[in-house]
Amino acid sequence: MKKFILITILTLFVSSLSAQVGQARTLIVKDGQMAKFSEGIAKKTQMYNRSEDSDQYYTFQILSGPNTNNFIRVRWMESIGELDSNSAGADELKYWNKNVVPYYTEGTSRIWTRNANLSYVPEDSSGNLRRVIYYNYKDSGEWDFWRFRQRVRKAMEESGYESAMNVLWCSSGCTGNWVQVRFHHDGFMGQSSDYGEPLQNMIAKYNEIYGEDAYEQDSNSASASLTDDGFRVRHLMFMPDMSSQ
Amino acid sequence: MKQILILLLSLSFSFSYSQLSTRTIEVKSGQMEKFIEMAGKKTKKYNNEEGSARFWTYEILTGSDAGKIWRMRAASSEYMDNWDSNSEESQYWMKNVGPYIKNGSVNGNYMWNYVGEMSHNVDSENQNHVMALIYTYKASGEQDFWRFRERVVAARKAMDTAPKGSMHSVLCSSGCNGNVAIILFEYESFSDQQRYNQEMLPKMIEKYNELFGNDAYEQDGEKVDKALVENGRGRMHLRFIPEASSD
Repeated sequence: MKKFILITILTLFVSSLSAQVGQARTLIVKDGQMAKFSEGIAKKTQMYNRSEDSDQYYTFQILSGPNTNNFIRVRWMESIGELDSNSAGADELKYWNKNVVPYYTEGTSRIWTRNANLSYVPEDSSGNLRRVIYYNYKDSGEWDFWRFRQRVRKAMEESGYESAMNVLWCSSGCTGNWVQVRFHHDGFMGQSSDYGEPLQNMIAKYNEIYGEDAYEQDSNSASASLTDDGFRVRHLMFMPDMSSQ
Repeated sequence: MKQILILLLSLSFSFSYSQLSTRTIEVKSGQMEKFIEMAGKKTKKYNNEEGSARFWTYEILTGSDAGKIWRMRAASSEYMDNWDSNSEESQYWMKNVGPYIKNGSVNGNYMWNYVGEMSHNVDSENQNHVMALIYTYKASGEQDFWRFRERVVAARKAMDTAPKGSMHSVLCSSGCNGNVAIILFEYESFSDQQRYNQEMLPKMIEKYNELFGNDAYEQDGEKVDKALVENGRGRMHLRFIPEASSD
Protein backbone atom coordinates (compact mmCIF):
# COMPACT_ATOMS: atom_id res chain seq x y z
CA MET A 1 0.00 0.00 0.00
CA LYS A 2 2.76 2.41 0.97
CA LYS A 3 4.50 1.66 -2.31
CA PHE A 4 1.31 2.45 -4.20
CA ILE A 5 0.87 5.72 -2.30
CA LEU A 6 4.45 6.74 -3.01
CA ILE A 7 4.13 5.91 -6.69
CA THR A 8 0.90 7.86 -6.91
CA ILE A 9 2.39 10.91 -5.22
CA LEU A 10 5.40 10.81 -7.52
CA THR A 11 3.23 10.28 -10.57
CA LEU A 12 0.98 13.23 -9.73
CA PHE A 13 3.84 15.50 -8.76
CA VAL A 14 6.29 14.72 -11.53
CA SER A 15 3.63 14.83 -14.20
CA SER A 16 2.39 18.19 -12.93
CA LEU A 17 5.79 19.83 -13.40
CA SER A 18 5.50 19.76 -17.15
CA ALA A 19 1.77 19.22 -17.42
CA GLN A 20 -0.65 20.92 -19.74
CA VAL A 21 -2.73 23.51 -18.00
CA GLY A 22 -6.07 25.13 -18.77
CA GLN A 23 -7.26 28.45 -17.43
CA ALA A 24 -11.03 28.13 -17.52
CA ARG A 25 -13.33 31.15 -17.22
CA THR A 26 -17.10 31.06 -17.11
CA LEU A 27 -18.60 33.69 -19.41
CA ILE A 28 -22.18 34.66 -18.55
CA VAL A 29 -23.93 35.98 -21.64
CA LYS A 30 -26.12 39.03 -21.06
CA ASP A 31 -29.86 38.74 -21.73
CA GLY A 32 -30.70 38.87 -25.40
CA GLN A 33 -27.06 39.13 -26.49
CA MET A 34 -26.38 35.51 -27.44
CA ALA A 35 -26.16 36.12 -31.20
CA LYS A 36 -23.77 39.05 -30.89
CA PHE A 37 -21.67 37.27 -28.29
CA SER A 38 -21.40 34.12 -30.40
CA GLU A 39 -20.49 36.05 -33.53
CA GLY A 40 -17.93 38.20 -31.73
CA ILE A 41 -16.16 35.37 -29.97
CA ALA A 42 -16.06 33.22 -33.10
CA LYS A 43 -14.62 36.01 -35.26
CA LYS A 44 -12.06 37.01 -32.64
CA THR A 45 -10.85 33.44 -32.21
CA GLN A 46 -10.65 32.85 -35.94
CA MET A 47 -8.76 36.10 -36.50
CA TYR A 48 -6.28 35.90 -33.64
CA ASN A 49 -6.08 32.41 -32.18
CA ARG A 50 -5.74 29.99 -35.03
CA SER A 51 -1.97 30.14 -35.66
CA GLU A 52 0.41 27.87 -33.77
CA ASP A 53 2.22 30.67 -31.99
CA SER A 54 -0.95 32.42 -30.81
CA ASP A 55 -2.67 31.76 -27.50
CA GLN A 56 -4.91 28.70 -27.83
CA TYR A 57 -8.52 28.98 -26.72
CA TYR A 58 -11.23 26.32 -26.55
CA THR A 59 -14.85 27.24 -25.95
CA PHE A 60 -17.63 25.04 -24.57
CA GLN A 61 -21.32 25.79 -24.17
CA ILE A 62 -22.78 24.59 -20.88
CA LEU A 63 -25.76 22.28 -21.45
CA SER A 64 -26.84 21.52 -17.90
CA GLY A 65 -26.90 22.99 -14.40
CA PRO A 66 -27.43 26.54 -13.20
CA ASN A 67 -25.14 28.02 -15.88
CA THR A 68 -26.96 26.38 -18.80
CA ASN A 69 -26.44 28.18 -22.14
CA ASN A 70 -23.44 30.14 -20.86
CA PHE A 71 -19.87 29.31 -21.82
CA ILE A 72 -16.59 28.05 -20.46
CA ARG A 73 -13.59 29.44 -22.33
CA VAL A 74 -10.30 27.68 -21.73
CA ARG A 75 -6.88 29.08 -22.51
CA TRP A 76 -4.87 25.92 -23.04
CA MET A 77 -1.15 25.96 -22.24
CA GLU A 78 1.69 23.49 -22.42
CA SER A 79 2.92 24.52 -18.98
CA ILE A 80 1.88 26.80 -16.16
CA GLY A 81 4.76 29.17 -17.02
CA GLU A 82 2.77 30.45 -19.99
CA LEU A 83 0.47 32.22 -17.55
CA ASP A 84 3.32 34.65 -16.92
CA SER A 85 2.96 35.98 -20.42
CA ASN A 86 0.21 36.65 -22.88
CA SER A 87 0.92 36.73 -26.55
CA ALA A 88 -2.21 38.72 -27.28
CA GLY A 89 -1.30 41.97 -28.99
CA ALA A 90 -3.01 45.32 -28.62
CA ASP A 91 -5.19 44.68 -31.69
CA GLU A 92 -6.41 41.36 -30.34
CA LEU A 93 -7.30 42.84 -26.97
CA LYS A 94 -8.96 45.82 -28.60
CA TYR A 95 -11.04 43.52 -30.79
CA TRP A 96 -12.11 41.44 -27.76
CA ASN A 97 -13.02 44.52 -25.73
CA LYS A 98 -15.07 45.99 -28.55
CA ASN A 99 -16.81 42.91 -29.96
CA VAL A 100 -17.19 40.45 -27.09
CA VAL A 101 -16.89 42.20 -23.72
CA PRO A 102 -20.15 44.20 -24.09
CA TYR A 103 -22.14 40.97 -24.31
CA TYR A 104 -21.03 38.99 -21.25
CA THR A 105 -20.00 39.21 -17.62
CA GLU A 106 -17.13 37.25 -16.08
CA GLY A 107 -17.91 34.27 -13.88
CA THR A 108 -15.43 32.13 -11.99
CA SER A 109 -11.87 31.52 -13.16
CA ARG A 110 -9.99 28.36 -12.31
CA ILE A 111 -6.75 26.67 -13.33
CA TRP A 112 -6.90 22.98 -14.14
CA THR A 113 -3.87 20.75 -14.64
CA ARG A 114 -4.17 17.76 -16.91
CA ASN A 115 -2.89 14.45 -15.61
CA ALA A 116 -1.60 12.76 -18.73
CA ASN A 117 -0.93 9.48 -16.91
CA LEU A 118 -4.55 9.10 -15.89
CA SER A 119 -6.06 10.44 -19.10
CA TYR A 120 -6.81 8.27 -22.09
CA VAL A 121 -7.00 9.57 -25.64
CA PRO A 122 -7.12 6.82 -28.26
CA GLU A 123 -6.17 7.52 -31.84
CA ASP A 124 -9.01 8.81 -34.00
CA SER A 125 -11.24 9.53 -31.02
CA SER A 126 -13.81 12.17 -31.86
CA GLY A 127 -16.90 13.86 -30.54
CA ASN A 128 -17.86 17.33 -29.36
CA LEU A 129 -20.09 16.37 -26.43
CA ARG A 130 -18.42 16.25 -23.01
CA ARG A 131 -19.95 14.52 -20.01
CA VAL A 132 -17.92 16.04 -17.22
CA ILE A 133 -17.95 14.56 -13.72
CA TYR A 134 -16.61 16.85 -11.00
CA TYR A 135 -15.38 15.13 -7.86
CA ASN A 136 -14.24 16.58 -4.55
CA TYR A 137 -12.45 13.96 -2.49
CA LYS A 138 -11.63 14.08 1.21
CA ASP A 139 -7.94 14.23 2.12
CA SER A 140 -8.39 10.86 3.81
CA GLY A 141 -9.81 9.36 0.63
CA GLU A 142 -7.08 10.46 -1.76
CA TRP A 143 -5.63 7.03 -2.39
CA ASP A 144 -8.94 5.27 -2.94
CA PHE A 145 -9.94 8.00 -5.36
CA TRP A 146 -6.79 7.98 -7.44
CA ARG A 147 -6.37 4.18 -7.42
CA PHE A 148 -9.75 3.87 -9.10
CA ARG A 149 -8.87 6.47 -11.74
CA GLN A 150 -5.53 4.80 -12.42
CA ARG A 151 -7.21 1.43 -12.88
CA VAL A 152 -10.01 2.77 -15.06
CA ARG A 153 -7.45 4.30 -17.38
CA LYS A 154 -5.59 0.99 -17.63
CA ALA A 155 -8.79 -0.97 -18.22
CA MET A 156 -9.88 1.48 -20.93
CA GLU A 157 -6.62 1.02 -22.77
CA GLU A 158 -6.59 -2.75 -22.41
CA SER A 159 -10.21 -3.11 -23.50
CA GLY A 160 -9.72 -0.88 -26.55
CA TYR A 161 -12.24 1.73 -25.40
CA GLU A 162 -12.69 4.05 -28.38
CA SER A 163 -13.63 7.37 -26.76
CA ALA A 164 -11.39 9.81 -24.93
CA MET A 165 -11.28 10.59 -21.21
CA ASN A 166 -9.30 13.48 -19.78
CA VAL A 167 -8.52 13.86 -16.09
CA LEU A 168 -7.73 17.32 -14.70
CA TRP A 169 -7.24 18.48 -11.13
CA CYS A 170 -7.93 21.96 -9.87
CA SER A 171 -4.63 23.67 -9.21
CA SER A 172 -6.09 27.08 -8.39
CA GLY A 173 -9.45 28.65 -7.66
CA CYS A 174 -11.13 25.73 -5.90
CA THR A 175 -11.86 24.91 -2.28
CA GLY A 176 -11.12 21.26 -1.63
CA ASN A 177 -9.65 18.57 -3.83
CA TRP A 178 -11.68 19.03 -7.00
CA VAL A 179 -11.04 16.86 -10.04
CA GLN A 180 -12.88 16.81 -13.34
CA VAL A 181 -13.07 13.71 -15.50
CA ARG A 182 -14.16 14.58 -19.03
CA PHE A 183 -15.69 11.86 -21.19
CA HIS A 184 -15.85 12.64 -24.92
CA HIS A 185 -18.84 11.45 -26.93
CA ASP A 186 -20.22 11.82 -30.45
CA GLY A 187 -23.37 13.57 -29.28
CA PHE A 188 -26.02 12.04 -27.03
CA MET A 189 -26.36 9.09 -29.37
CA GLY A 190 -22.62 8.49 -29.06
CA GLN A 191 -22.90 8.72 -25.29
CA SER A 192 -25.69 6.20 -25.37
CA SER A 193 -23.56 3.87 -27.40
CA ASP A 194 -20.37 4.37 -25.32
CA TYR A 195 -22.20 3.43 -22.12
CA GLY A 196 -23.40 0.18 -23.65
CA GLU A 197 -21.00 -2.52 -24.77
CA PRO A 198 -17.74 -0.49 -24.54
CA LEU A 199 -18.41 0.31 -20.87
CA GLN A 200 -19.30 -3.31 -20.11
CA ASN A 201 -16.10 -4.46 -21.84
CA MET A 202 -14.06 -1.98 -19.83
CA ILE A 203 -15.60 -3.22 -16.56
CA ALA A 204 -14.97 -6.85 -17.56
CA LYS A 205 -11.35 -6.01 -18.35
CA TYR A 206 -11.02 -4.17 -15.04
CA ASN A 207 -12.20 -7.23 -13.15
CA GLU A 208 -9.96 -9.48 -15.23
CA ILE A 209 -6.89 -7.39 -14.35
CA TYR A 210 -7.64 -6.52 -10.72
CA GLY A 211 -9.80 -9.40 -9.54
CA GLU A 212 -13.43 -10.43 -9.42
CA ASP A 213 -15.74 -7.58 -8.38
CA ALA A 214 -12.75 -5.22 -8.21
CA TYR A 215 -14.60 -2.60 -10.26
CA GLU A 216 -17.54 -2.52 -7.89
CA GLN A 217 -15.37 -2.57 -4.78
CA ASP A 218 -13.02 0.12 -6.05
CA SER A 219 -15.81 2.35 -7.32
CA ASN A 220 -17.55 2.02 -3.94
CA SER A 221 -14.30 3.01 -2.20
CA ALA A 222 -13.89 5.93 -4.59
CA SER A 223 -17.47 7.04 -3.86
CA ALA A 224 -16.83 6.78 -0.14
CA SER A 225 -13.75 8.98 -0.56
CA LEU A 226 -15.87 11.94 -1.69
CA THR A 227 -17.16 14.80 0.41
CA ASP A 228 -20.94 15.00 0.82
CA ASP A 229 -21.30 17.44 -2.06
CA GLY A 230 -18.33 16.07 -3.97
CA PHE A 231 -20.13 14.72 -7.01
CA ARG A 232 -21.51 16.77 -9.89
CA VAL A 233 -22.22 15.98 -13.52
CA ARG A 234 -22.42 18.58 -16.25
CA HIS A 235 -22.74 18.32 -20.00
CA LEU A 236 -20.77 20.66 -22.24
CA MET A 237 -20.67 21.08 -26.01
CA PHE A 238 -17.36 21.93 -27.68
CA MET A 239 -17.81 24.88 -30.06
CA PRO A 240 -15.29 24.49 -32.92
CA ASP A 241 -16.08 27.87 -34.50
CA MET A 242 -15.23 29.62 -31.24
CA SER A 243 -12.04 27.63 -30.68
CA SER A 244 -8.45 27.39 -31.88
CA GLN A 245 -7.90 24.47 -34.22
CA MET B 1 -29.07 -5.02 -2.44
CA LYS B 2 -26.23 -5.41 -4.86
CA GLN B 3 -28.94 -5.74 -7.47
CA ILE B 4 -30.22 -2.27 -6.66
CA LEU B 5 -26.77 -0.81 -7.11
CA ILE B 6 -26.33 -2.56 -10.41
CA LEU B 7 -29.74 -1.36 -11.50
CA LEU B 8 -28.89 2.22 -10.58
CA LEU B 9 -25.56 2.04 -12.33
CA SER B 10 -27.19 0.68 -15.42
CA LEU B 11 -29.82 3.41 -15.29
CA SER B 12 -27.24 6.08 -14.72
CA PHE B 13 -25.36 4.92 -17.74
CA SER B 14 -28.33 4.03 -19.85
CA PHE B 15 -29.07 6.85 -22.20
CA SER B 16 -30.77 4.85 -24.88
CA TYR B 17 -34.12 5.56 -23.29
CA SER B 18 -35.74 8.96 -23.40
CA GLN B 19 -33.76 11.49 -21.46
CA LEU B 20 -35.80 13.72 -19.20
CA SER B 21 -34.78 17.32 -18.74
CA THR B 22 -36.36 20.18 -16.82
CA ARG B 23 -36.20 23.95 -16.99
CA THR B 24 -37.69 26.65 -14.77
CA ILE B 25 -39.42 29.49 -16.60
CA GLU B 26 -40.46 32.83 -15.14
CA VAL B 27 -43.54 34.21 -16.86
CA LYS B 28 -44.08 37.97 -17.15
CA SER B 29 -46.35 39.43 -14.54
CA GLY B 30 -50.03 39.01 -15.47
CA GLN B 31 -49.24 36.87 -18.54
CA MET B 32 -49.63 33.37 -17.10
CA GLU B 33 -52.92 32.60 -18.87
CA LYS B 34 -51.54 33.72 -22.20
CA PHE B 35 -48.33 31.78 -21.62
CA ILE B 36 -50.28 28.61 -20.89
CA GLU B 37 -52.49 29.12 -23.95
CA MET B 38 -49.55 29.64 -26.32
CA ALA B 39 -47.30 26.99 -24.75
CA GLY B 40 -50.28 24.65 -25.07
CA LYS B 41 -50.76 25.45 -28.76
CA LYS B 42 -47.07 24.87 -29.42
CA THR B 43 -47.05 21.60 -27.46
CA LYS B 44 -50.17 20.21 -29.14
CA LYS B 45 -48.83 21.21 -32.56
CA TYR B 46 -45.29 19.85 -32.26
CA ASN B 47 -45.08 17.49 -29.30
CA ASN B 48 -47.74 14.84 -29.62
CA GLU B 49 -46.46 12.74 -32.48
CA GLU B 50 -44.29 9.68 -32.21
CA GLY B 51 -40.61 10.59 -32.43
CA SER B 52 -41.17 14.13 -31.23
CA ALA B 53 -40.12 15.38 -27.82
CA ARG B 54 -42.87 15.23 -25.17
CA PHE B 55 -43.44 18.03 -22.69
CA TRP B 56 -45.20 18.20 -19.33
CA THR B 57 -45.87 21.58 -17.80
CA TYR B 58 -46.30 22.37 -14.11
CA GLU B 59 -46.80 25.52 -12.09
CA ILE B 60 -44.61 25.65 -9.00
CA LEU B 61 -46.82 26.40 -5.98
CA THR B 62 -44.33 26.60 -3.12
CA GLY B 63 -40.70 27.41 -2.40
CA SER B 64 -38.38 30.06 -3.76
CA ASP B 65 -39.58 29.43 -7.33
CA ALA B 66 -43.30 29.65 -6.50
CA GLY B 67 -45.26 31.12 -9.39
CA LYS B 68 -42.80 29.93 -12.01
CA ILE B 69 -43.28 27.19 -14.56
CA TRP B 70 -41.46 23.86 -14.37
CA ARG B 71 -41.39 22.28 -17.82
CA MET B 72 -40.24 18.71 -18.26
CA ARG B 73 -39.18 17.26 -21.61
CA ALA B 74 -38.68 13.64 -22.63
CA ALA B 75 -36.60 13.33 -25.79
CA SER B 76 -34.52 10.71 -27.52
CA SER B 77 -30.75 11.06 -27.94
CA GLU B 78 -31.36 11.53 -31.66
CA TYR B 79 -33.73 14.42 -31.02
CA MET B 80 -31.24 16.03 -28.63
CA ASP B 81 -28.37 15.72 -31.11
CA ASN B 82 -30.45 17.23 -33.90
CA TRP B 83 -32.01 20.03 -31.88
CA ASP B 84 -31.79 23.25 -33.84
CA SER B 85 -32.64 26.71 -32.60
CA ASN B 86 -33.73 27.59 -36.15
CA SER B 87 -36.16 24.68 -36.51
CA GLU B 88 -39.84 25.43 -37.12
CA GLU B 89 -40.65 24.16 -33.63
CA SER B 90 -38.05 26.40 -31.93
CA GLN B 91 -39.03 29.42 -34.00
CA TYR B 92 -42.69 28.86 -33.15
CA TRP B 93 -41.85 28.80 -29.44
CA MET B 94 -39.70 31.94 -29.66
CA LYS B 95 -42.30 33.85 -31.66
CA ASN B 96 -45.47 32.80 -29.84
CA VAL B 97 -44.43 31.84 -26.31
CA GLY B 98 -41.23 33.87 -25.88
CA PRO B 99 -43.05 37.21 -25.55
CA TYR B 100 -44.70 36.04 -22.33
CA ILE B 101 -41.45 34.94 -20.68
CA LYS B 102 -39.61 37.39 -18.47
CA ASN B 103 -36.39 38.39 -20.20
CA GLY B 104 -33.67 35.81 -19.71
CA SER B 105 -35.74 33.84 -17.25
CA VAL B 106 -35.44 30.32 -18.55
CA ASN B 107 -33.18 28.92 -15.90
CA GLY B 108 -30.96 25.90 -15.77
CA ASN B 109 -31.31 22.65 -17.59
CA TYR B 110 -31.31 19.55 -15.46
CA MET B 111 -31.24 16.04 -16.89
CA TRP B 112 -32.96 13.13 -15.19
CA ASN B 113 -33.28 9.39 -15.59
CA TYR B 114 -36.68 7.89 -14.87
CA VAL B 115 -36.21 5.10 -12.33
CA GLY B 116 -39.03 2.81 -13.40
CA GLU B 117 -38.33 0.11 -10.84
CA MET B 118 -38.69 2.65 -8.04
CA SER B 119 -41.91 4.13 -9.42
CA HIS B 120 -45.53 3.01 -9.13
CA ASN B 121 -47.70 3.82 -12.10
CA VAL B 122 -51.46 3.60 -11.82
CA ASP B 123 -54.13 4.78 -14.23
CA SER B 124 -54.23 8.29 -12.84
CA GLU B 125 -57.22 10.45 -13.63
CA ASN B 126 -57.46 14.11 -12.65
CA GLN B 127 -54.41 13.72 -10.44
CA ASN B 128 -53.03 17.14 -11.24
CA HIS B 129 -51.83 18.10 -7.79
CA VAL B 130 -48.26 16.94 -7.28
CA MET B 131 -46.07 16.78 -4.20
CA ALA B 132 -42.38 16.52 -5.02
CA LEU B 133 -39.97 15.25 -2.39
CA ILE B 134 -36.43 16.29 -3.25
CA TYR B 135 -33.58 14.33 -1.69
CA THR B 136 -29.80 14.64 -1.83
CA TYR B 137 -28.13 11.50 -0.55
CA LYS B 138 -24.54 10.69 0.26
CA ALA B 139 -22.77 8.27 -2.07
CA SER B 140 -22.38 5.97 0.92
CA GLY B 141 -26.14 6.12 1.53
CA GLU B 142 -27.26 5.06 -1.93
CA GLN B 143 -28.33 1.56 -0.96
CA ASP B 144 -30.27 2.61 2.13
CA PHE B 145 -31.99 5.37 0.21
CA TRP B 146 -33.17 3.20 -2.68
CA ARG B 147 -34.03 0.17 -0.55
CA PHE B 148 -36.71 2.25 1.15
CA ARG B 149 -38.07 3.47 -2.17
CA GLU B 150 -38.11 -0.03 -3.61
CA ARG B 151 -40.02 -1.28 -0.60
CA VAL B 152 -42.52 1.57 -0.72
CA VAL B 153 -43.27 0.57 -4.31
CA ALA B 154 -43.77 -3.06 -3.25
CA ALA B 155 -46.05 -2.01 -0.40
CA ARG B 156 -48.13 0.29 -2.61
CA LYS B 157 -48.56 -2.50 -5.15
CA ALA B 158 -49.64 -4.92 -2.44
CA MET B 159 -52.32 -2.63 -0.98
CA ASP B 160 -55.89 -3.92 -1.22
CA THR B 161 -56.99 -0.60 -2.69
CA ALA B 162 -54.42 0.97 -4.98
CA PRO B 163 -53.62 4.66 -4.57
CA LYS B 164 -55.40 6.82 -7.14
CA GLY B 165 -52.27 8.70 -8.15
CA SER B 166 -48.92 7.47 -9.40
CA MET B 167 -45.57 7.83 -7.69
CA HIS B 168 -42.64 8.63 -9.99
CA SER B 169 -38.93 8.48 -9.11
CA VAL B 170 -36.33 10.40 -11.11
CA LEU B 171 -32.58 10.60 -10.54
CA CYS B 172 -30.54 13.57 -11.67
CA SER B 173 -28.03 12.59 -14.34
CA SER B 174 -26.61 16.02 -15.16
CA GLY B 175 -26.75 19.53 -13.76
CA CYS B 176 -27.26 18.81 -10.06
CA ASN B 177 -24.84 19.06 -7.18
CA GLY B 178 -24.64 15.70 -5.48
CA ASN B 179 -26.92 12.68 -5.82
CA VAL B 180 -30.32 14.28 -6.24
CA ALA B 181 -33.53 12.27 -6.58
CA ILE B 182 -37.08 13.56 -6.83
CA ILE B 183 -40.11 11.49 -5.90
CA LEU B 184 -43.33 12.85 -7.37
CA PHE B 185 -46.66 11.89 -5.79
CA GLU B 186 -49.88 12.62 -7.66
CA TYR B 187 -53.13 13.66 -5.96
CA GLU B 188 -56.32 15.46 -6.91
CA SER B 189 -55.86 18.37 -4.53
CA PHE B 190 -54.42 19.41 -1.17
CA SER B 191 -57.48 17.90 0.56
CA ASP B 192 -57.06 14.70 -1.39
CA GLN B 193 -53.43 14.55 -0.27
CA GLN B 194 -54.51 15.08 3.32
CA ARG B 195 -57.12 12.35 2.97
CA TYR B 196 -54.50 9.98 1.53
CA ASN B 197 -52.18 10.68 4.45
CA GLN B 198 -54.95 9.99 6.95
CA GLU B 199 -56.52 6.96 5.33
CA MET B 200 -54.15 5.31 2.86
CA LEU B 201 -50.69 6.03 4.24
CA PRO B 202 -51.24 4.02 7.46
CA LYS B 203 -52.41 1.10 5.29
CA MET B 204 -49.31 1.38 3.14
CA ILE B 205 -47.09 1.36 6.24
CA GLU B 206 -48.96 -1.64 7.57
CA LYS B 207 -48.40 -3.46 4.29
CA TYR B 208 -44.72 -2.43 4.32
CA ASN B 209 -44.23 -3.97 7.77
CA GLU B 210 -46.21 -7.03 6.77
CA LEU B 211 -43.91 -7.56 3.78
CA PHE B 212 -40.56 -6.63 5.31
CA GLY B 213 -40.90 -7.27 9.03
CA ASN B 214 -42.13 -5.56 12.17
CA ASP B 215 -41.09 -1.90 12.35
CA ALA B 216 -39.31 -2.21 9.00
CA TYR B 217 -40.87 1.04 7.80
CA GLU B 218 -39.53 2.97 10.74
CA GLN B 219 -36.12 1.30 10.67
CA ASP B 220 -35.68 1.78 6.94
CA GLY B 221 -36.90 5.36 7.23
CA GLU B 222 -34.25 6.06 9.86
CA LYS B 223 -31.60 4.68 7.54
CA VAL B 224 -32.82 7.05 4.85
CA ASP B 225 -32.44 9.95 7.29
CA LYS B 226 -28.82 8.95 7.82
CA ALA B 227 -28.27 8.46 4.09
CA LEU B 228 -29.04 12.10 3.34
CA VAL B 229 -26.60 14.98 3.35
CA GLU B 230 -27.30 17.81 5.77
CA ASN B 231 -30.40 19.70 4.59
CA GLY B 232 -30.77 16.97 2.00
CA ARG B 233 -34.56 16.93 2.13
CA GLY B 234 -36.83 19.37 0.36
CA ARG B 235 -40.48 19.48 -0.63
CA MET B 236 -42.50 21.48 -3.11
CA HIS B 237 -45.97 21.34 -4.56
CA LEU B 238 -46.77 21.60 -8.24
CA ARG B 239 -49.91 22.01 -10.31
CA PHE B 240 -49.86 19.92 -13.47
CA ILE B 241 -51.19 21.86 -16.47
CA PRO B 242 -52.55 19.30 -18.97
CA GLU B 243 -53.57 21.96 -21.52
CA ALA B 244 -49.90 22.97 -21.89
CA SER B 245 -48.60 19.39 -21.95
CA SER B 246 -48.31 16.54 -24.43
CA ASP B 247 -51.31 14.20 -24.43
